[in-house]
Amino acid sequence: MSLANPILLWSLLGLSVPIAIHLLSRKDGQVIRLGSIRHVQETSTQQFKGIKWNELLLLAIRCTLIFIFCLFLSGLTCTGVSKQKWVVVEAGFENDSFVKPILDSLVKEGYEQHQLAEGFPTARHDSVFGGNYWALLNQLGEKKPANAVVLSSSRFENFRGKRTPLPVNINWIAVPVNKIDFPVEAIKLDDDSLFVRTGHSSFDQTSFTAAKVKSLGANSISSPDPVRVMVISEAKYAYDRKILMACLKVIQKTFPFSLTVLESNSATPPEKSDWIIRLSDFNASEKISGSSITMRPGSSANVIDQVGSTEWVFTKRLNEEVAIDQNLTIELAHLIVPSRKQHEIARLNDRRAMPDALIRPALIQSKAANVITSSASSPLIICLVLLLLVERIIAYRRNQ
Amino acid sequence: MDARIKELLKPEILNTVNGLELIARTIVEGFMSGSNQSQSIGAGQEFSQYKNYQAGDDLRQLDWKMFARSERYYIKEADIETNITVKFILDASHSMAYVEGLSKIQYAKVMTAALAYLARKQSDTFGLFTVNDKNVSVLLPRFEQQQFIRFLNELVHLESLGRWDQREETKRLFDRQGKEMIVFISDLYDNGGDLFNFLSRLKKPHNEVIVFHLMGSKETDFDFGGSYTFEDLETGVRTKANTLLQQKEYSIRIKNWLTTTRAWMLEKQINYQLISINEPVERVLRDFLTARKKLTR
Repeated sequence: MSLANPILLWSLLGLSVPIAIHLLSRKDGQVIRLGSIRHVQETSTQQFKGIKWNELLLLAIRCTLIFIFCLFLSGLTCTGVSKQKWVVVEAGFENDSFVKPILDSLVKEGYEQHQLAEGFPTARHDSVFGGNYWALLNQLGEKKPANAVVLSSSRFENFRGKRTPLPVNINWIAVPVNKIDFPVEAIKLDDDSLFVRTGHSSFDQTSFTAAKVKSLGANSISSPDPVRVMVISEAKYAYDRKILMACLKVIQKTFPFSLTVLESNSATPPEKSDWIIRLSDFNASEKISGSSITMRPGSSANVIDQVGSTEWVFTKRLNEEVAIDQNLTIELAHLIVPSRKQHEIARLNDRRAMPDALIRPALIQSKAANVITSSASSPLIICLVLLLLVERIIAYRRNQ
Repeated sequence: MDARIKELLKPEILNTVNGLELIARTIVEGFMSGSNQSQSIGAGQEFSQYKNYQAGDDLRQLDWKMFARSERYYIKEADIETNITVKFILDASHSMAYVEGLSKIQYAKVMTAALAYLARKQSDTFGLFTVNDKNVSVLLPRFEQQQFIRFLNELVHLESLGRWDQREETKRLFDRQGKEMIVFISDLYDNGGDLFNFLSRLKKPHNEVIVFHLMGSKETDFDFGGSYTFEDLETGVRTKANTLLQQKEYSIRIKNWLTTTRAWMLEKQINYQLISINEPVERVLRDFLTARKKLTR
């Protein structure tokens, strides 16, 4: 039990009021000296006791009333310890060879099986986990189970947002996953060769290898995405253009995708393209489709800076030094080479897991994690009303 | 006047001789002022009537001047004004310590002092007898200047203790022949009728006994409002009682007792006065004396 405003417990001093009234008006104990008591008849002890008990009962009820009222003012909250025991399993791991024996033994011990998902359903809800571990951990903490065992893959990418301190009553067990190799892409370069990129992911790292192979094998061939780049340049930026074109050529030759480079001198692009690179002082006012890179020399450390959702700028005039020092080709390739699909594949197959030490930092542990608190206002009010009623009835009967 | 006397009725004034005298004087002067001149100018001075001489009459009483005028023998008769003896007998038992504003004993002291003052004023002799089983003090009636001071001194040092004295020898003290007025002040709480025996023995054909019966209004009505423990002042016995429950019965019992007492007194030709100690002393005395004056006329 705890109090929201313990200072209001001073109102318990109000208890002195009924006690003082009782003591002051205690007529039974008062002795009156009479000249003679020959005419006084003794009242039966039973009756006297009845009156005395009535008085004491009333005093007790009145004191209790004040006590309850004080507790109500002080904002009493009740706390209790939960006895629920949960085993929370991530979707898809119920039949895992590592998880299964643990799960079975825990269920035998009286643990309730829940799925690691929003609301922690008892029945299988999802087949694939798609939540956020930190958020779910927070929710699980709020459920205040006496003990909870979480069996999860602990995949790195599912730890998003603000970290939640892991309460002591929750055991997080990371299910070990095997190292996997997965194809990212296979692009047909020419008739007899393929560019194949393969991903390798284990609990501690994810890496990629690229190779040119002759046989198709089991890889599904994907056609390279065509990318059209329009370069608009002025005579003033002739040297910059030269450097840029060299970079684009390197990209074209190195990356397994189809890159079409177009050139124009007019301010408005004559053709539709995925990228427009302007090497001019002219600022296009009209909205253009696709992404753009414009020349706007400034003082930035990077050679290319993003200024809008689809807008980038060259912050420096382009020359060999800049191109070499700032890795201009790689920077450009990051922008131009389409890799969203590959990223998605890589993300889906990423098996890297959060180390246990990071999930459970030694210092951040909530102590009273399984303590349930609830406001006691309603029962107090009910008690107060009932006692008041009883007090009135007894007081009325006494006065009769 | 009431307020003045009330102011005087404080323990520090009541418990001194001068204070008690002051109270007595204030009370008596209060109700005497404006009344007729005292009739006690001198013994046998006031002419009453002539009576025909009969053989055996005292010749010294014969009015010779009247004989000279009418040649008849007349005996000149006058109002015989005798000084009577007033004896104050105070019940000094512990039951008189009952308090309701003033205690009964204090009330009795004030009453006695006032009546003694009046007696002195009328040249009567007065004495004081206070009785309880611990001490019987006697101040015999005398006609002296210091008598009143002695009287007051006795009153001031009077304490209510023990019970009513039951020894036979003390009763003899009050057995005296001669005309006297006995003022007996008590709460009449006796023990086996000893007080009534004493009173009946006190009453003689030639004396007058006046009993002032002191009672408190709460004591009479049992109006305490609640449950209390009651203690007998004389015996120390305690009893618990709910006054609300038995108020009616108590009142009836008290009324019966008072009625019986009054009837007994009447039968014994004792002047019985029931006094409530809640009433001011001067009013009680004035009413008593007024009624008495009317009776004597």
